[in-house]
Amino acid sequence: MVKNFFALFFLYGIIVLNCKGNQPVLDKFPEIGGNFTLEDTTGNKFSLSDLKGKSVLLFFGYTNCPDACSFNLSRLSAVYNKLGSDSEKVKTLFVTVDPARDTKEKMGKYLSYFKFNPIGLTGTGKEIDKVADLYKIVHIKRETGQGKDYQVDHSTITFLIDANGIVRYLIKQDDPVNQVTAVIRNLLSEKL
Amino acid sequence: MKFGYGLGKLFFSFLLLEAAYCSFHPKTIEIRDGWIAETPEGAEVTGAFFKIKNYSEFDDEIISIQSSVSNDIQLHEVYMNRDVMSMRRLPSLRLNKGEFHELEPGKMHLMIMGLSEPLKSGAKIEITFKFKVAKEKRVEFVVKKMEFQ
Repeated sequence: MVKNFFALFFLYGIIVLNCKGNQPVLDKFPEIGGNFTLEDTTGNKFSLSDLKGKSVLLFFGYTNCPDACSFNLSRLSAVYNKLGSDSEKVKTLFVTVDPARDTKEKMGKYLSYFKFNPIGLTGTGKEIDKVADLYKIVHIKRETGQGKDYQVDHSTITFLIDANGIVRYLIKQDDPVNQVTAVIRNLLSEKL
Repeated sequence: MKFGYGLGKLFFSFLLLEAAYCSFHPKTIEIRDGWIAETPEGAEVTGAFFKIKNYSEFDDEIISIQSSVSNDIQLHEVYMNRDVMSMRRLPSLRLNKGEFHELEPGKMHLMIMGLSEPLKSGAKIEITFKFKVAKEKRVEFVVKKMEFQ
């Protein structure tokens, strides 16, 4: 719990520092991120480093989330539409924080709904925790009081990662489509 | 005689005005702009959103919600603690006299659980609301994509 609190406080502080007025500014966050390996929805090993050379959007969620996750995926659909042909240079990774219920098959079906083909990633609880720690992500399973049902409270930050695997921007849940599109364009316009 | 005729006209006008007022603001609970987020294949839950106002003369509350598409529909409040999203189940929704609520993404929703098949855009789903005081209400919700400009 204390660990979660500090992770949350740390991430929030960085988000505040990351906003200069309303202009999205690319930065570097040496304390956040790093390479990781999980399994994709076809059962193959997948590492962040497999996407070297591409820009990456990474976020953590679960398919039983009726609000924040579908909201974010729908927002990203609009961002990809705005990016036009540049959208091919950006891949989205969706790491489940509910590996017990999000089977590979279920995630595969769920994510295939979105035309920008987000890649679903899963692993054991420990493997997910390790990646979540790398990115200072909070995820807490919360019983609903109805049988075995539960929800997962989780961080809603989407990480914008550059072609070298470095986190460059923290996209907030309420950042509008135009702002998200603009910051991705900024990143794409950087010389490698 | 003339005086009586005038009074009759006045009374009739009053009835007409009252009828017009009631047709715009029925003294009951109004639920409008209801929609349900389209679901990808494999999704077992989705959110429904609407506006509700209590035009009646009594304080009231929603005590149950039912639909043929799910055995389990819950009222949820969403709140953000810094960047962490949490949901809390509400046992009911208070609707004091004159009170208005908008259930929208990121704030409150109906969580429709246990879907056995995807809900596709354009479909119309009836949801029944039961209240503590007012008569139950059946409202048609439209399924649509969660879209952004």
